[in-house]
Amino acid sequence: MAELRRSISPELPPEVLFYHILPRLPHKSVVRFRCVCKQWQSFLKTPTANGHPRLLVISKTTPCTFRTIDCEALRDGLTAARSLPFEAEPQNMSIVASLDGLVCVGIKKTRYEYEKYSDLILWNPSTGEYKTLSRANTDNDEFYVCAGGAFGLYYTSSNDDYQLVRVTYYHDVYIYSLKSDSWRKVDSIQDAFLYIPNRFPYSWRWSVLLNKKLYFVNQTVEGNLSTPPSYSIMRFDSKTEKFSKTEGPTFTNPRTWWLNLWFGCIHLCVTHSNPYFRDSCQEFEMWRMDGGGEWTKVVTYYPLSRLDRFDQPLHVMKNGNWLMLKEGWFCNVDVKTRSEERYYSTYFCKDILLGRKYIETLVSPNQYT
Amino acid sequence: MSKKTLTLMSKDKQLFNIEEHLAVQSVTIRNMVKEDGASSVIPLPRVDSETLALVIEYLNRQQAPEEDEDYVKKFVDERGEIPTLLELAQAALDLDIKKLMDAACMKVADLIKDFTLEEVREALRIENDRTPEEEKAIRDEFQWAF
Repeated sequence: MAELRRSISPELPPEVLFYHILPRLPHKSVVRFRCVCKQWQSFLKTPTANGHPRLLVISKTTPCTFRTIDCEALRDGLTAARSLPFEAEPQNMSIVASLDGLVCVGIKKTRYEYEKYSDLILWNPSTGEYKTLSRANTDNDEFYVCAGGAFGLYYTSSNDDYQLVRVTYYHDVYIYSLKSDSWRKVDSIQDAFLYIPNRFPYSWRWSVLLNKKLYFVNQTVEGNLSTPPSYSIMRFDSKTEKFSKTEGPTFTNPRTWWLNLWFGCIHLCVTHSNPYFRDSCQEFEMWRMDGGGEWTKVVTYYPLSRLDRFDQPLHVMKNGNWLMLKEGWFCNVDVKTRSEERYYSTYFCKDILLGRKYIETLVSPNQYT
Repeated sequence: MSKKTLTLMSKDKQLFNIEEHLAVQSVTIRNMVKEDGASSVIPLPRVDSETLALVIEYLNRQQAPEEDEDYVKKFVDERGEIPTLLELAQAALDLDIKKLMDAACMKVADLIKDFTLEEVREALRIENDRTPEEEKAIRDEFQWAF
């Protein structure tokens, strides 16, 4: 009888439902349940914002807090500060991968030369949920070495799982499954790496996911002026779990490369060094990769002043403008008219920018537990 | 020294007694006790008596800390009906009893995750406000999820 009485009571606690139950559903259910009614759809699709990529800024307060900024609307400024749900020193944490609202954070304990991650955490900054990844099967020494390796997050719809691929300093490859909370080593992919020029230490740059494939830039760290850095683009196919090398354009005086996704296409940005001012960038170029793997130059950008020190473009906006960092300032740069607007300085506020985008979703890192 | 007892009052004005040291597992009650030294009756205007009885049963548990996790799981498992769990989760949220809320919400999520749309609507009494055409469009777009 009690059940009957309850079942006709019209009250549903929306706060519990929306903020505490739906975030615990697996991704597949979340997608399906958008159909339940319009209220659910608008909530599940864009819980807090507009689907724009955001950046995280960490403040060195006690306890540690973070704020976020909309990459497409710098004018709106940073959000209010929220406390970091896990323990970390701001200068010792970095985002190593990001997908669907989940970011993978690498936490370091020390700042020694051969630093290592003490923990890897999967965190949804929108809901605050996080999960410390299991260390099982990662017992070799170099797994946690920060330098020289790479991470990439992807989703496999066939078994509804989030997976994280890890390439170590020595090019061993491991794959983490969120569903089973465990790592497994996959066939080493030496063949694909044979062609990486590794006379100098090299670094991997942020991965970009397109059509179930992760793309990474792998570049040598500058040796000296007579040996300019070189690079290659590595592609990881999440279906076959194999790496392969894909060709990129060649450059005469390159310095740094990184990848961006813009309107569904891979874009490669490159800076060229100025032989007279080593620390300043002479020009930026952006190239688009088309379906067949051909590259087309989209735009070249010369900063107004040759002494300006721009860091990498963090985001290419829908209108074609670039979000760049200049001496710690967030700048909205119109690359066509060469005009820029400055918004907020991380150096000035002693904040730390975790230079990796994420979007706001309800995807839970604890959906399988 | 005798143990201090608090009285909680449900939405439908029923009174429940509980020892203070057990009641303060609820952060909300702990703050109330701190603030005004526990007035005679603490009203809980959003919690009905059936749900409050469950909450009291939970707070009164005598579990060794290492078995507590299993106990909470079993506690919500035995009350597997969605409406009861939703009320329990809401009460645990209001009273700020984190473990109970987490367990109840996890249980509901577990129960509904494999439901069809019709089953979700029925279980949570939600009206479908879409035309069949609109629904089909979404289904086609996200076929893999159905």
